[in-house]
Amino acid sequence: MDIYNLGMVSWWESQCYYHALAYLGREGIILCRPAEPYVCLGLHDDLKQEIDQEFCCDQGLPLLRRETAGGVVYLDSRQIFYQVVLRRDNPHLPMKRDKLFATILQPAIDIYRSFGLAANLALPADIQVDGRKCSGNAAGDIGQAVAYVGNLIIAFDFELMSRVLKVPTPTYRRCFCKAMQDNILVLADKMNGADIGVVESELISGFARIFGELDERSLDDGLKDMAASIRDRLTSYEWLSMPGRRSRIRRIKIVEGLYLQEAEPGIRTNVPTLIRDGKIEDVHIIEESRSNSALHEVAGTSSVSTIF
Amino acid sequence: MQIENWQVQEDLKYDNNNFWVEIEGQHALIGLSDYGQWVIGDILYLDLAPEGATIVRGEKFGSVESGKWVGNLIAPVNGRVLECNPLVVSEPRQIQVDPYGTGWIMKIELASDGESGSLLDHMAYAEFIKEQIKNAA
Repeated sequence: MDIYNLGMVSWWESQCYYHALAYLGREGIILCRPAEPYVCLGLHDDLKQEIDQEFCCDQGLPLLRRETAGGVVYLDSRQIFYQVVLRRDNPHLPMKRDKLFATILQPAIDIYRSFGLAANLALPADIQVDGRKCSGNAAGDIGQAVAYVGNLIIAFDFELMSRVLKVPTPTYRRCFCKAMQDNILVLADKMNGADIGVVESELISGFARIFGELDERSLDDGLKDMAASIRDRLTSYEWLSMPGRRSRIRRIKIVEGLYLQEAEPGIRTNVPTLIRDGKIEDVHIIEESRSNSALHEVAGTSSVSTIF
Repeated sequence: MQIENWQVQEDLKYDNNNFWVEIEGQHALIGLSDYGQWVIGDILYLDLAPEGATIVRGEKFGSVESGKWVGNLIAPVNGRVLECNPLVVSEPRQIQVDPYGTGWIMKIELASDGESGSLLDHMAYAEFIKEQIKNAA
């Protein structure tokens, strides 16, 4: 198996090389980090519903729609990406594609455990520590290959992520930001000064345990040319604005099994609800002043998320 | 007939991407087999070629998302899309509830009389499933 340890690459390269491998029918593992921040949509995300395009434009945040599953995410240099491309005839590839997440994510799980964190797979494809997500993952059939992609979250800009998405109210946005802060774990605080190079080396060792000896490769012209043409397509307005899944009311997934849902129209306005495993999550009662100028958390235990 | 946990309906044709095809004259209904819907898992979203589009056997005519995976839907025959099932477009899980009935995916006008020639009968498809299971073990 080939491995491309690319270090820091441009924002679009951080997505396009694994697509290029897949379309070229070549297997490989890529490790990289994007030098610049950007916003990445899943294949079936609806641009108009999901993204505050004006905000992204004002912030100079480029958009790209990948060909794998999952939702919109804001990405920057503080996440380490791992991307595994397997041809469809690879014997590692199970009939049920999501079964392979348990294998592909083991190197990342081992890294969290090496820092003393009790990391586990949360089916189908999250890594969680004490119920908090610490790695986002997805997969997709691309060309004659399947790509499994994910990241280790060293640090994350919760505030910016909450601004990138289109949400119904400022209150919803604040709840969204807080829900992410409460339910996503970043590795930076737990690394005890370890540097990212060490983490990358551990990832490589982990993938070698799965796939055997890895051949270190550098980018060749075929891969670069294919990636450049894929960039043009994945960032074109026509591709970005493809219609995708839409929902009647705004419902954003925070982590596996946890959603922030806008209030049903006509029932109660301005009251987003956290729903975990189909049940309303216990509480934040948040009092918002009539002027919308202040937000005060006034209680922490109740059965309904209430904002008033 | 039943192959382990999955039903294979005997009056349909199949392909090795787990689609069933019911041919009536120049028209055909296409859907995912019981085994096919199990392989994909919990179906969250379906993106299909629009009505009027031409589909080509062996080429992508849509995509499906389940959990954290997106897969391509590969056309089992050549033809033109007459109708996409609005029920499965709005409620993709219907494919899993009733794969051979209300969970049909698409109605097409076949490109030629010989479209069924490349498809498997139910016995051959049952053998295909058994082989898949054996290889996965």
